[in-house]
Amino acid sequence: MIRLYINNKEVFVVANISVLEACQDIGIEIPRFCFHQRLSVAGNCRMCLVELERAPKPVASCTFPVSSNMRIFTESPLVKKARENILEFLLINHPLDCPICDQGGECDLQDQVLLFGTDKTRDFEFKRNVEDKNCGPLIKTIMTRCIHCTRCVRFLVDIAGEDSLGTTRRGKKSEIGGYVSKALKSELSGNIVDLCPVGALTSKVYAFVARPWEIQTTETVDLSDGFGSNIRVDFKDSELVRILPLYKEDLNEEWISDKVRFNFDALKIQRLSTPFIKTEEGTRKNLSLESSFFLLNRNLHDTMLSFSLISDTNSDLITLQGIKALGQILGIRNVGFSKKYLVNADFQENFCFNKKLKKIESIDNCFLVGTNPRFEATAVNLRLKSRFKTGFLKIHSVGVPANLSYKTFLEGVTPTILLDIAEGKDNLCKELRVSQKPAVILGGNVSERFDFFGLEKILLSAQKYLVFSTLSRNPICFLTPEANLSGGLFLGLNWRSFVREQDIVFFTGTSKEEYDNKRLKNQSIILSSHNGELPSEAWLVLPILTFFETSGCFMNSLGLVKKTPKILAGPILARSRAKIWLNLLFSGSLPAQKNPLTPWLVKLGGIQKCESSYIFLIRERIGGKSLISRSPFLPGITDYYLSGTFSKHSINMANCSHVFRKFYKNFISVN
Amino acid sequence: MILKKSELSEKIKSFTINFGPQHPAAHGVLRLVLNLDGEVVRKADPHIGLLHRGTEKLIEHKNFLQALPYFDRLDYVSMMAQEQTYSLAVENLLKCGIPIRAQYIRVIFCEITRLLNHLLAVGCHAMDVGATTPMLWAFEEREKLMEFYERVSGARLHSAYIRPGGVNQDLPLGLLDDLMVFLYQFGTRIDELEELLTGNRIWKQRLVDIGVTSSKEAKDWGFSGVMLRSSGVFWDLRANRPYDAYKYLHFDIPVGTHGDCFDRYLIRIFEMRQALRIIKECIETLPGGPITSYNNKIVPPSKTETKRSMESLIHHFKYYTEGFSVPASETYAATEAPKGEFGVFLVANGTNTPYRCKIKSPGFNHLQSLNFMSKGHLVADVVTIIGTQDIVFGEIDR
Repeated sequence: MIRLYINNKEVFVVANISVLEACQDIGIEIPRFCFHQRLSVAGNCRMCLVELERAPKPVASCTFPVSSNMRIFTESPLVKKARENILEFLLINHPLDCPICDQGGECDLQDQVLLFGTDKTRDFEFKRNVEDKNCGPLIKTIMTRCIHCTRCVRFLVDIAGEDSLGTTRRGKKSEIGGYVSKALKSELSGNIVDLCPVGALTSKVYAFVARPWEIQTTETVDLSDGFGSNIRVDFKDSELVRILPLYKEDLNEEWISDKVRFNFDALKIQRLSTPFIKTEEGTRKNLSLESSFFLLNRNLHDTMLSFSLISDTNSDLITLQGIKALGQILGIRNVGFSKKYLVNADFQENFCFNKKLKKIESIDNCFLVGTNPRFEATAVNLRLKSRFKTGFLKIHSVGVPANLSYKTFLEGVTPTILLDIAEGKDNLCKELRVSQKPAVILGGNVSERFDFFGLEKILLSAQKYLVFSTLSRNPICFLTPEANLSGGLFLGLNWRSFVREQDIVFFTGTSKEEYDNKRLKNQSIILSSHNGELPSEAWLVLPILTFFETSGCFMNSLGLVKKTPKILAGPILARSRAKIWLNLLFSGSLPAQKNPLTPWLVKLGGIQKCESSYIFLIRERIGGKSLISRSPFLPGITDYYLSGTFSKHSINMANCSHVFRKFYKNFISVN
Repeated sequence: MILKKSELSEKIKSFTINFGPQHPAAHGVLRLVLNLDGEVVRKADPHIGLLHRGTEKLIEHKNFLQALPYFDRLDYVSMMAQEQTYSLAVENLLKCGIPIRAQYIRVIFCEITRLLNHLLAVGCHAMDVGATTPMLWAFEEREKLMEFYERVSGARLHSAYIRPGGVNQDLPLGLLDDLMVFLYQFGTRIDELEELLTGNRIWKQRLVDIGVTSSKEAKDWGFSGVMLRSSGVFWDLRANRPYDAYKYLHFDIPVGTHGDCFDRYLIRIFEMRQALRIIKECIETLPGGPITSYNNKIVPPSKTETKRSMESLIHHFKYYTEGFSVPASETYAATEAPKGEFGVFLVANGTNTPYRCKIKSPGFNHLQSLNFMSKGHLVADVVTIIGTQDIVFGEIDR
């Protein structure tokens, strides 16, 4: 702690921070445009000028480090005059766009001019013009509004790992842009809209939609990846118009991916609105809710039929437990997710990300196995990137070569390399051996491989190299790429047998992929929110609500249970998954069962720590051969923008996919 | 069974009637529970709240500019007087003065408002008492005055013309000429009113020595304005605590001697003549110059400016969307509204909305004295007293 005087008040602050941060710590907000807590310091807007004793000129407080006995003045006439002049210069070339600018009302420039600027103009020259840049299908640019704070440039370079933007030319002619015209290709591009203090970068999706004072805001959790970023949802007249990140230090910080931000337009596209049944002629016949439930119940309890109960990972915990309970009651063995996960779900640490995200920033070695965190978990990738920036980190990967926005060392593409490592033939062993805080990140889709048992054994035996790491915790971080996959595994829905020929398949959620992949020909009962999810084999279809329209509990990859509130009204005849399943569960024709929901489900909502000693489900360990295959790892997500029910129906995501398809092939290697 | 006369008289109890809330002489939605002994009033119990709209609470959720139109709607026959009070309160908090021309314009329109109010008060009072003609004549003059309102602000009643920092727009061309023409003929209109009422035997029989208030009682009950001056107290905020341009102007303040309804009538007539004098002096000495404060942080820049100046555009945008912020402090501003002292107690907490806005309306204090003023009078005199109190429920119920 060092002593200094701010506005003649004695304060003590920690050393090695800037004057701006010191002021912020004691509650004095210094106006700024270019400075941002999570970006590197640029010091080019000069808005944060303060007066220092014995300094000949005002200094930029964001770049100036504190020293002891420094005397800082933040409200002196000199500082006020300086701020006024800086703003006056900024406005000389700012276009008269407020009435047609999307930033109007939440614009830093407006706010600061109102607080610190003059109210009269002295300059009536012509304003300069700047050509707009192409920033992809999501970002709208009006570059004449730009005040060159370079936050977007620094974000893209430092955090997103994308170097297509920069500052060109100097003085009055300086511009943000690139030498070559190319679309901005980052899955995080939406964040520069939030960062831009003026209306130079705005969202194309939100263009001319709403003004900030018309907006109502709700907080919820996103379900497009396994971590569940905290988001803020904005409404105008009960219409969802915008999604913004919420600050959450130990999760998404303040960044979210474009998928989270822009895929909400799927809420209104191709929605199923009424239950229907396919007639013998092959046409659809609409049903009432009552008759569809009657049909559902009658068929489900018809002992002559055999069923498979399959859900996608977007179902909440209550639904999954309902499915599981009904399967147990009716004696249906074939209950589970549409994909098979061979992971041993007896222990929570086997399918959880066993590291707090904040701790990634202190790892000294990283080993990625069959995963692309850039697509599967943006939050993890951002932490890895930020750790990578600080240096002395080698990131090794086995699996599909991909550009993760930082340098990775590809050890191999097939699992055989793992065997080498386990046997100590690889250089990596040496590194792992000296590593104090290693992170081994295992992709969730690896557990879909039939040779997963073998791989797991190898990885576990490789643990012997991790001598320094604390072995009380499993060092292998299992990265679940989908929303409630951890929750499903927690409930033991990891494994099911193959769908038999004669089975009627009862799908909850996504079903088309299953049909397309496995070439199933069975009739099916489907609960779906979107029309595009329906395979032609659909027989009885009930519309369901999406997660924005119903409340529910979800477990994220870290093993935390997150609650989402109901924030929207869905189609009138649509019901939530949980409601439908509980209805089936408790309808009179079931065998008497007191409370099929296990008691621990009731207390969900708190944080469940993944401790190895906590055995919650005693199941037989799934047997398997310890073979490993020579077939290479497959990418978990092939088209980032079009994965997940929501994104598949989103026009925004389709546009992104169209533009970025040629860049976002997984086989582009950084090496 | 034969009733003895003595038993019968014992059983006569006081008689309770409901006066209003639909009674035409109740001046709106007054519900008055009268306790009568024969025709003599024993107790008058006014019930209020039928026109409650929660103005003070609504203001807490509006920014400082959006709160202004609520003041038009309090006492809806003296609109601008209340706008002026609120604007003065906000200007106090902002510590900003306003240009001299704006002060004069405010005074002109506040005196027009006084004419509007007193015409209604005297006219309706006369009608309550039984004379129809004065009201018809008064309302004709009110029409003319409301046209001046309309010409300057676009609205005949709820003008929202006097704003924090000045007035909304400058006087239109020719308005002052026409106002002068009006002033010259209006003296005659007052004479005509007086011909009908002042010497009228019935009018005097109904008003003289009715609702007598001593100066002590008037002060005890918190009277202000005409009600206070009628009982001999010299207290007029325009003279005692001058605001806006009143300190530059010359006018007389009538004070009563008896404190009865007739005195109050005479004072209203006299005040109307003084209002003419004030307006005339204002028109003759109206200075040129700007009509709003020069500081665009609290008044919007002109629309012309916003087409060429970025600073003005931003200030215009923010003024009409977010509103202006007022430093944290509190103030009480009071003006001599036609009905008495109208006050606004405003607490700002540094944001763009008032933290609290307490409105002191003169009618509220006057109405509470209805009981003591009408005690011992006949039922018909209650009507006279309500009339002389000049009750308007917009400001009492708020």
